[in-house]
Amino acid sequence: MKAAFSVWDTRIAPLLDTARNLHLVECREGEPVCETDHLLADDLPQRCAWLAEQDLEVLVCGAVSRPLQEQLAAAHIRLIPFVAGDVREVIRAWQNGTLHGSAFTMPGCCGRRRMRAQHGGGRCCAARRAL
Amino acid sequence: MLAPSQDASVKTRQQPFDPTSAAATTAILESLSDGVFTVDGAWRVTSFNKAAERITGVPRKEALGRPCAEVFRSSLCGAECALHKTLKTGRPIIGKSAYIVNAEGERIPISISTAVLRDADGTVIGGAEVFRDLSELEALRQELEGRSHVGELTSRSPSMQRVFEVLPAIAASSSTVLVQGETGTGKELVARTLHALSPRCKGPFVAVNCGALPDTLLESELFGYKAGAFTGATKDKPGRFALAKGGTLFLDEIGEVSPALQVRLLRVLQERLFEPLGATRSERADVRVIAATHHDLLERCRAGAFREDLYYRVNVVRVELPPLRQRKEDLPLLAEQFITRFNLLQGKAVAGLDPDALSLLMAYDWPGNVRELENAIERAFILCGTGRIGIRHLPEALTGAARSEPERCSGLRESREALDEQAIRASLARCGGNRQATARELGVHTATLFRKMRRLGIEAPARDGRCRPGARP
Repeated sequence: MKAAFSVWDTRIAPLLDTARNLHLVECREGEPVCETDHLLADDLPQRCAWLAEQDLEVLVCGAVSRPLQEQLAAAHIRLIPFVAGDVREVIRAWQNGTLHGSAFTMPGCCGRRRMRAQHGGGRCCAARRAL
Repeated sequence: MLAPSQDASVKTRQQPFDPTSAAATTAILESLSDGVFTVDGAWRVTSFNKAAERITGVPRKEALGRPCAEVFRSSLCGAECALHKTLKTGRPIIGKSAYIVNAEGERIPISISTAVLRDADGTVIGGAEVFRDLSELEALRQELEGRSHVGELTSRSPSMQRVFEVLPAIAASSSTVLVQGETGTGKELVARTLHALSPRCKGPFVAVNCGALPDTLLESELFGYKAGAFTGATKDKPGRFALAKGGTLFLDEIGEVSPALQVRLLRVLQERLFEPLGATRSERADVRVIAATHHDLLERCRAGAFREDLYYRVNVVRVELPPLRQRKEDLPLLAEQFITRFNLLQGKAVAGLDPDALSLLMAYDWPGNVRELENAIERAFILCGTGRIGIRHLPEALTGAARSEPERCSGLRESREALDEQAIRASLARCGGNRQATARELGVHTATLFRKMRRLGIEAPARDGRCRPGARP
């Protein structure tokens, strides 16, 4: 299982549209076995094509514009957008299945994450109720 | 009537307003329509005004204490952070364009200004960022841009706007169109635009220059021929009327067609039938005809060079294209369009026209119209690879027309003087030599005009324009 995290410095990049760095994490039986860093292309269609080739389980990122979301959806890339926080903590939360908690939600995006949850995610609401 | 102080609805301030107080600063920030936020040394948001909440969609309570990039989410956040640059250099950034992405994924265009934030002792305590929502401006800009383009045609001039307004309706009809305009005004471009906007857009667009072919060749080109129609006709050849089936046939320079061929064209337009050379049966012309000419066809009818009945068949709907000299406001836009195209085609990075080159283009009369402008820019691209196109890159025809001296203009000053001279001479001619009227028209004082005329060696006309015919000298 492979997941990608858009990165700026030590945190999740605030905007996927302009992010340059991607951290790929490959897990086997819940444990990371390989982590690599990649530079993303400037051209968005090129980016999407490259991401589509990576056989990703999920792409975790910060804010993302709707046109890019649509391009990623067309490339069958599952997205967890509007995530904020330290990359290591976000990776850990993803492994533990606690990424949908509000601790990793970008300011002003809670309603949106909840809405996504209603459309199939479910984990954000569950996490909020648990909190 | 109550005096303002007696009006119960007006609440008066009991204490004097102190603009330096923290409460006053907060009140001012809250009343602004621009978003404002401040950050501390660790890039965490320390204040976030009401407009910032409205533009970003982030409530203040969620923004405070969070890293500014995660709240703001602009296209500059990260390596291009404007506030980071300001804090590094100490210099403010004003009006930098960017966009932010809100929780709905919408891109909101903004302009950003930044400043260093200092305490009362002058110690840097963070930074302040002011941002303005440009969504409405951007929408207006896009609307204006939309209005200045129809298909491949570009113009902002009122005369062309009138043409743009009627083009969609003309395109929707199946009537024959006559496009009239001087050479190089874009008659074929109008025809192509009409085709592209028409219900026949999926069919072919076939153009024929009637002035470029001898009469006999034009006839076989238009109508085609059958095998054996004449010596060398070994097989059938479809004509342009047949090739344009289901689409549009553009007959350029229709005014050049011979009287004999005019009769055949008239039949096609009247009956929608034509016969290829050597054919025994008529074929149906399933085409929409757009004709173009630089002649005044009515004048040619009066002179007996063009059939009146064909003129009325062709002139069902007429589009008249103004020459470039009558729409010089389009020059910068057209020049920019050509520069963009040639940059793409030739892989160059020409930034545009420098102001003096543009002045020269504006002063020229453009007898060859848009085509001549395109050629002038293409020529300039040969000499100019990067930077801006200057006077030295423009063709002799332009630089020569703008000066009267036989010797070459080598500098900016000479070029300006040449332009001044041209403007003064033209204005004097328009005002019949009346120097006061000339000065008024040129927007300068009479003394300035006299001084310039002396310096440029422009002789005062023998008759100064105030003289009335028959008046005593």
